Amino acid sequence: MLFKLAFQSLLSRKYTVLLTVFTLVISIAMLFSVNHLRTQAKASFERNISGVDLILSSRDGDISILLGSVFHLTPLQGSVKWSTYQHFNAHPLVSWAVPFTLGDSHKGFTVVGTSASYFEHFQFGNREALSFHEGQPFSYQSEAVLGHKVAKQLGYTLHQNIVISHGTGSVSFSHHSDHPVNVVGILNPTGTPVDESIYVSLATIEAMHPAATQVTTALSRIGRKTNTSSSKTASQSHHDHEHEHEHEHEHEHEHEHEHQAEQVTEHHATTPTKISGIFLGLATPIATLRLQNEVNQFEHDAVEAIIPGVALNQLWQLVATGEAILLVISGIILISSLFGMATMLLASMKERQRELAILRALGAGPKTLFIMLQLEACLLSIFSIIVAYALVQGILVAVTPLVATHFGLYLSPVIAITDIVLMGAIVLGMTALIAILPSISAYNQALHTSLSKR
Amino acid sequence: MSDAKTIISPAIAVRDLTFSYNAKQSDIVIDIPQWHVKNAEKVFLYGPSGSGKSTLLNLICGTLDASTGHILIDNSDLTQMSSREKDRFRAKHIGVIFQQFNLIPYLSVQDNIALAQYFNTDPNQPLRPFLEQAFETLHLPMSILSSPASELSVGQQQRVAIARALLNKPDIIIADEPTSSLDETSQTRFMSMLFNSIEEQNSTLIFVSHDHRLAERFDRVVSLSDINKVKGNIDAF
Repeated sequence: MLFKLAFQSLLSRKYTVLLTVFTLVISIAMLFSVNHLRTQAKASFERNISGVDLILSSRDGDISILLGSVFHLTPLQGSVKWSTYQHFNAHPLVSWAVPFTLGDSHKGFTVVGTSASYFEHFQFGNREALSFHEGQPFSYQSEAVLGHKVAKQLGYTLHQNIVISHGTGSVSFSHHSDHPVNVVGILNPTGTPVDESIYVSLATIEAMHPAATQVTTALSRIGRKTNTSSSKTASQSHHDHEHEHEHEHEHEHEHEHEHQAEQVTEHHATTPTKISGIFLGLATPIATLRLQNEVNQFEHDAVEAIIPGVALNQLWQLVATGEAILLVISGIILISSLFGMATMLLASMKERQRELAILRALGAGPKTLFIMLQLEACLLSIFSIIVAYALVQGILVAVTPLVATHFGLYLSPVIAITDIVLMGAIVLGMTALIAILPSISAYNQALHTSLSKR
Repeated sequence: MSDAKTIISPAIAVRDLTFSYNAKQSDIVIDIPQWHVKNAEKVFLYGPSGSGKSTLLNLICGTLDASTGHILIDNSDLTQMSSREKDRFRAKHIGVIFQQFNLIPYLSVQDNIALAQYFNTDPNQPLRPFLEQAFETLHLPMSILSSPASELSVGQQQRVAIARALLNKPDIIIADEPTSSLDETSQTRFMSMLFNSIEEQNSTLIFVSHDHRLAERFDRVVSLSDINKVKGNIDAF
C-alpha cells in the first residue's frame, strides 16, 4: 500500500518527476559507462599477453621491456646474446623459449623476427592461442606471417611479396628491398598488438642485416657502397660484433642475396648473433620467481626477466589514475543529481500538507511518512537505474563494433550483471542516504501536522 | 445505548485537561476539568472560531499531546501512550471527516478507503462487502471506486470520507465542519447519510459546526465555552 501510495504520488507529479528521472538517468548512465569502459579497458589491456611466464630482455626496466616486447611501443634499447638464449633454452626449469628480434617495420607495422614456435606458445586473452585465418607459420627464410590488421589495412593476401624497412617509423629511408618476403600466413584477429605485427624468422632478419642486427643508421648506409669486398666473411662468421660496428655498417650484401635465400635451412644465420629478448614458458609456474632471480643474476649477459602479469599491473597503475579520476567525476555528477532529486522531493512537501494531514488522521505516524518519502526516492532511483542500464546497453551494442574497428579496442558489448547489481546497490544506498533530507522534513511535518489544517 | 457499558464507561472521558502550544501557563488554550461523552452519543459541539474546538479534536485524536490531565477513550488513556501507540489507536478507534479535502487526489476512491484499513494493523472486515453496503447507504455508485478521487464532486468526496471513517468500525467519529463546503441540499443529504451510517455501527459522534440549524438531530448540543474554562480568542490550530 505504501508502495502504491509512493508510486501514485510520483505519477501525480509526472513533469517534475520526469525531469528528475532524466538527470538521474544521465548521471547513472555516465557512471555505468565509465565503469564498463574502465573494467573493459583493463581486461582488454590484460589480454595482450598470456601463457608467457617470463620475458627476458636487456636491462631496460620492467615497463620498458613490456612496452617494447608486447606493445611494440618503445624500441628495446639493448640486446641479448644468442648464447644467453641457448643457455636458458636448455635450462631445466624452462619448458619452452621463443626468441624475438625487433627493430624493423613495414609501413608502420612492427616486424618481429622470431621462431615458428612463437605461434605455438604465445597466447593472448584468457590463454587463447594464435590461430591462422589463412596459410600457416613460416618455415623458410623470406617468409612472413601477417597480423590480421596488417593484412586487412594494407589489403595483403597470401603469396604477396613485401619489403621490410629498417627502423620502426612509418617512413623509413632504408628499405631491405633486396630481401622481399613472401606472405605465407595471415592470423586471426586477437585485439592485441599481434594484429599489427608482421612475423618473420630470425634468419630472415639476419639475412637482411648480415652483420649488424642492432645498430645501423642511415648515415652509415650512405657509405656502404664504398666497401663491398669483405662482406661475406663478416656477415657469416661473427658471433660477437660489439667491437666491429663500424665495419659492419659498410657491409654490402647485394650480390649474395640470391643464394642466401636458397641456403636457408643450413644457413648460418639461423643462429643469429643477437636478439631483442626471449619469451619463456616454464615447466611449472612455481619456478617463476626462482628463474627470474636466476636471470637477473646471470653473469654472462646483462639481462633481466619480467613477469608479464606483474609488469602489466605496474603499467596499469599509471593509467589507473586517470581512470579513477573519471570514476570520481561521474560519482560527483551522480551525487549532485541525487541532491537535485532531494530538492524536488523537499519542494513537494509544501504542496502535500493536506496529504500529510489525511494520512495522519488515518493513523500514519511520522515514521511511516519518512518511509514513504524514502520509497519515493528509491523508486525514482530504481527506475532511473533500469533506464540507464537499458540506455548504456543499447549504446554499447551499437558502438562496440565501431570501437573495435577504429581503435582496436575489443570491448564487451554486454555490461556484467554483477557490476550493474553492485553499482545499482551503491546508487540506491546513496539515494537512501541523500533522501534522508526530504524524509526528515516529512517526518517533522507529520509531527506538527494536526488534523484540521485550513 | 442500552448496554451496560454506556453507563459504566463513557466513550470519551476528559479529566483536568489543559493544553498550551508552548510552555507558558498564560498561553493555555484548553482547560477542561471534566467532560464526558457517552457511548453512541451524538454530540454537536460549537463555539466561535478560536475557542479551541480544533485543538480539542486534535487532543482527542492524539495528534496533539495534552499538557496535563487525562483523555480516556474507551478506558484507554491517550496521555499514557507513546506517539506510535496513539497513531495505532487512532487508526483503529477513531474515524475523522474533515471540512474538505478528505481524499488523496491521485489515489482511486477504493485506494483512499483501503488506506484506512492499511494503517489499522488489525483490520476486522473484508473491504468489498463493506463498500457495497456503505456505498448503498451513502448513495454512491460503485463505478466511482476506480476513479481518481480528484474526479469526484465535493459532495461525493465528503460521502466517500464517511465511508472511509466508518471502515474500521471506529468507536468514535470526529467530524470537523464536514458540511461547510456543501450546498444546502447536499448538506441535508449528507447529514442523513452520516446519521444512518453511524447508527448502523453504533459509533459515538463528535460533530463540530457553526451551523445551529444542524443541531436539532443530535443527542446533545455542547458549547465549548461551557466546558472550557479558558475564554478568549485563540487562533485555532
